[in-house]
Amino acid sequence: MNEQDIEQLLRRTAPAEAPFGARAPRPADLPSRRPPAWILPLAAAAVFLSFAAWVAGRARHFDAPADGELEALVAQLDDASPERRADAERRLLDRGPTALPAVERAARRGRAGAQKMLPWLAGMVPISADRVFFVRFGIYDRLTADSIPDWMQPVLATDRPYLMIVRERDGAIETTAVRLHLHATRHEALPETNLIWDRDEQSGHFLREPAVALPRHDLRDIFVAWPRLRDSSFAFMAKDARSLFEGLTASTTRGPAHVRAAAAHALRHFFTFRSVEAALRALEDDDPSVRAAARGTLAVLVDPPEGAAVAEWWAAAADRGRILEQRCEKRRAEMRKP
Amino acid sequence: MAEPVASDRDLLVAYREGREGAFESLYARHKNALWLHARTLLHDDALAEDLVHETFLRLVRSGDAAMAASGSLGPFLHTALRRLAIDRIRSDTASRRREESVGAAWIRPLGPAVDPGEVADLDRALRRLPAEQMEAVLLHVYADMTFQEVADATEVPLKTAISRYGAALKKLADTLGGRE
Repeated sequence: MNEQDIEQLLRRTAPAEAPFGARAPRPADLPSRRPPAWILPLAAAAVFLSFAAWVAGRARHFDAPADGELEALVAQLDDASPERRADAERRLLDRGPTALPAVERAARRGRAGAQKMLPWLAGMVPISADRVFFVRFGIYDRLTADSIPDWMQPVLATDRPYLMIVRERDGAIETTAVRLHLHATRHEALPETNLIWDRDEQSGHFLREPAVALPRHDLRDIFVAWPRLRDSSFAFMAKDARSLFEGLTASTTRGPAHVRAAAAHALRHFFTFRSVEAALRALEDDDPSVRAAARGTLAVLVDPPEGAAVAEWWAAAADRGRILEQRCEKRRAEMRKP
Repeated sequence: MAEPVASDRDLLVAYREGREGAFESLYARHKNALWLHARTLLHDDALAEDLVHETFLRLVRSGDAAMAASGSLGPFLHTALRRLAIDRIRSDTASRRREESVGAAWIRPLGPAVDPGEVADLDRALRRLPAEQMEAVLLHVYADMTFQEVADATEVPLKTAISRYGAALKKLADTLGGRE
């Protein structure tokens, strides 16, 4: 029997008769096009109860100690001044997840600034309707292709969300920027239950990436899982830090040598002034593996002269920093023009 | 002269105008394929039944989305069912219940000329197909959807939908080949 025979045979069959009967759902099963008579009193009662609950909620709200500064910052997100808006964004990002409830409330009330801020702060953006989330960190959102200099373009973190994975191969630390689909059951411990997926560029399917595994204690020093929503979604936040970047830079001074090396390596994927500073600090580390990783990172970030001394690297970085700052300022000025 | 068969869209319009018989016709037309689809995805007859009814409720509540469908409502219904099934699969309750088996036959012969033994073998072979291949077969053959519609409903590229269908036929041919 070949495939054509099979197709013909399939066409001579039909799905089995559904045992739940010959009848469609009756109007009683289905929402009627015209509301029944009893719906109006019920709706009135529901409106009254909602109002009462709202009043009670407001009373509790006024009793509770309000975080006035947080509310002010959220309000400032819709300020007419771009500088004040940017300041509020930066300070809210600094507050991390603690600012999330206030921003969520404002976003629900339709405040545009809060709606824009929400995905940055939440650290995740929905990519489809089937509850799949990518991890995203605010730090990427603050850099765009337009606002960074040309020399960074080849290694630019695009606006596609991704997370850094640190792994050890043949005794050397590697970091890989991958786009992730993380799925784990709430309250399960990280990283044992997390599946790491990489999205295949060609097919768009999520593929298991067997080579990428979360090293246990290494990443525990850097990340903490932050359960969100009511099921199966995790955001990663830097542990004891307000951003992943700060988590990495903190680990360069606090963690053991291999974590410091991993962090120094990972810094190459973070294109800010502070990543250069952090890598330069790592150049002075006692551990040779950290110094080697930092040297590689600086080669990516600032392209220093061959065999340069540390002082020259600082100078090169400072030059690059000034150029970057000037270009960003120029870009900001252009954006301010009507 | 035979009465022309009303299209799905016509039936939906008629239902919205208050003729409930039109909805029953729609239901009778699609329920078996939808039930098979749900069973393929959930491996649980009872859950599959719930899902078929939820799908029809979604059709009723869909407003203009379903009305935008030209002709057949198959793609709309199967896409809705698939999304509902994915939600179910992700819930703890569903994962527990999915361990139950699917009892009754998946397919039946169309007319007395078809060998029931052959159909029974085909039924068994279909059950052994991976879910995504079975989905491609049932949507294309039983729900009468084009490959483009199958691709849209299952949210994959067109080529993937076609290759899944081809792989399913090949696997069925391999399985049933030894029967001759």
